[in-house]
Amino acid sequence: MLKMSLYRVIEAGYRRGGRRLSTHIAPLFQETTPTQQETFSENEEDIIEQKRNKSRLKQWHFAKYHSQIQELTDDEEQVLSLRFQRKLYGSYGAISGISSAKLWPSKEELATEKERESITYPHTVQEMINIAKEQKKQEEKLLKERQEDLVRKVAKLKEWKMEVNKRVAKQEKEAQEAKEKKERLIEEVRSILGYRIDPKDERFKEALLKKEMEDKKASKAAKKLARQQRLIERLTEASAEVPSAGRSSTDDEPNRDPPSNTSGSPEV
Amino acid sequence: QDEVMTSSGTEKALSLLRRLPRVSIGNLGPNPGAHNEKRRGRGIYGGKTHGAGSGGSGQRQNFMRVGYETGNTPFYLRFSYQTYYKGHHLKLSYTPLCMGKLQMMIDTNRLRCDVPVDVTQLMATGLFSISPQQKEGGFMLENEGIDHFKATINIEVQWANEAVIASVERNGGFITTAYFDPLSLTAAIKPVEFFGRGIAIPRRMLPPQHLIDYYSDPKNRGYLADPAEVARERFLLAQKYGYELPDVNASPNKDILLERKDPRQIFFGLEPGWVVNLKDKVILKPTDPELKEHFAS
Repeated sequence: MLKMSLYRVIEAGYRRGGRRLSTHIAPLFQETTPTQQETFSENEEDIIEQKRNKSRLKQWHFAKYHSQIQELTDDEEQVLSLRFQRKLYGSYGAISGISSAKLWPSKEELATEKERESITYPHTVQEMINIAKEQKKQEEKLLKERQEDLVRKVAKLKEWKMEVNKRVAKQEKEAQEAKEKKERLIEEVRSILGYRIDPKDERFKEALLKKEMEDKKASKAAKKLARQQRLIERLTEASAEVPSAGRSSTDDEPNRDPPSNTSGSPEV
Repeated sequence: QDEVMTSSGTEKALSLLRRLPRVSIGNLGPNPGAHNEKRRGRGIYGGKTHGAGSGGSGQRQNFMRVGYETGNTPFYLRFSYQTYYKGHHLKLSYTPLCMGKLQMMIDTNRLRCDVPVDVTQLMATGLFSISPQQKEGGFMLENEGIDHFKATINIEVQWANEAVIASVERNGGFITTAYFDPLSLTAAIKPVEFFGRGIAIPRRMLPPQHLIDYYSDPKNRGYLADPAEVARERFLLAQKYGYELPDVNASPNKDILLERKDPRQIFFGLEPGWVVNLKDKVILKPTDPELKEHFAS
């Protein structure tokens, strides 16, 4: 059978709303090989063979049933996908006429595949094993560090507990003292005033203020006294060390009257 | 007088029966209360509000949205996320295969022992279904039946624990754990369909990073582990579990038991790059050096 010359190629299409390419119903190309039914063979045998087919099946159904396949035309080879052509080979074998070169990845497909692999599997086996080992080591290291840290901290735990308790006790004590002091003041003021009085009252506050001033003076006097005592002690110590003749007793009396001002007061 | 005990009621009934015409569907009526003459309510009072109550938002069908709890944060809004399936799309699941079932299959000739057993052979029994698209990795052997497992086989699965490995090796068999990436697994479980696609057998890809640990460990008989270390672990396991390790060189199935796949190989006896055609029963091998190099890498 002579193959007819190439004509304009129409794109692969669909017919009657179907989802599959209807190559057998509507040819995709302007030239087709004549179907079995159309052949007008000179050979008597072929004519008889055609007449023997009483199945009344459609040509494509008959072919499918008997696993027959027509070789693809040049146009069909160009238009139909590689995937489809490979499947034809897979189902029918060599009689499909598909060149075996199409079964392996084409240059473009190979390039794409290599690129995909380089991104999806960037490491070799050894590298991956090493990465896994490193990860494990890291995890163990972190764990170990944490454990050591905990051990160190647990050793100090008793000390920290004591500190906390001390601080709390101190705070409590201070609060208690302040409260007691306040109570004492109130009581003393009350005893001074002689009658029960509300702490918020004005008179109470005045009395409180007076009391505070007095307290301050007393504490100041006490401090001064304490300072003087210390001075005396220091001097006695110094005199004891130095065995030379003692000083005049007048020097030891701090409360001496200040010398009178002889410069004379200004005349009015 | 009659001494027969007949009640007047019975007599009446019997006399009725004699006189009246034949009982038929046309003469019969239902017992009172047999038919519930429920009529759909129509009209203002006979209709009786059809369950909506009288007046108010109930009758106006004024419902709050489903789940609304009259103001407080409803249950369906309380939890902004739940971690039950976190990372599940990154993990593989495996079809469990008990040792007892494996023994049964071998005993009933459902599974061939005279060839190395791998995913393809196990799927050929027709008893299992694996879908790699649903993130299924293959087979994992379970402990059930390890005590009475008696077969000597060379088996390759995707996951196995220590006890299972011991039970296989105790009988002189060999076990390997191997990883199949989804495309390779699709080819391995349905080889006939795969060959019908008319494409070259692909290379099996490496496991992902989180699984490389498992498959490179000789304790798990991983396919990426050093064979010498695997042999050593075999010996140690025998000591641990207390059985005598049979000598493989003495067994008649030595060749079968010692057959192992290359890490890039999917089928026993077939290399990546070959095209298998079941219709013509031929194997085509590539000649292009670039292709050869790619499939050999």
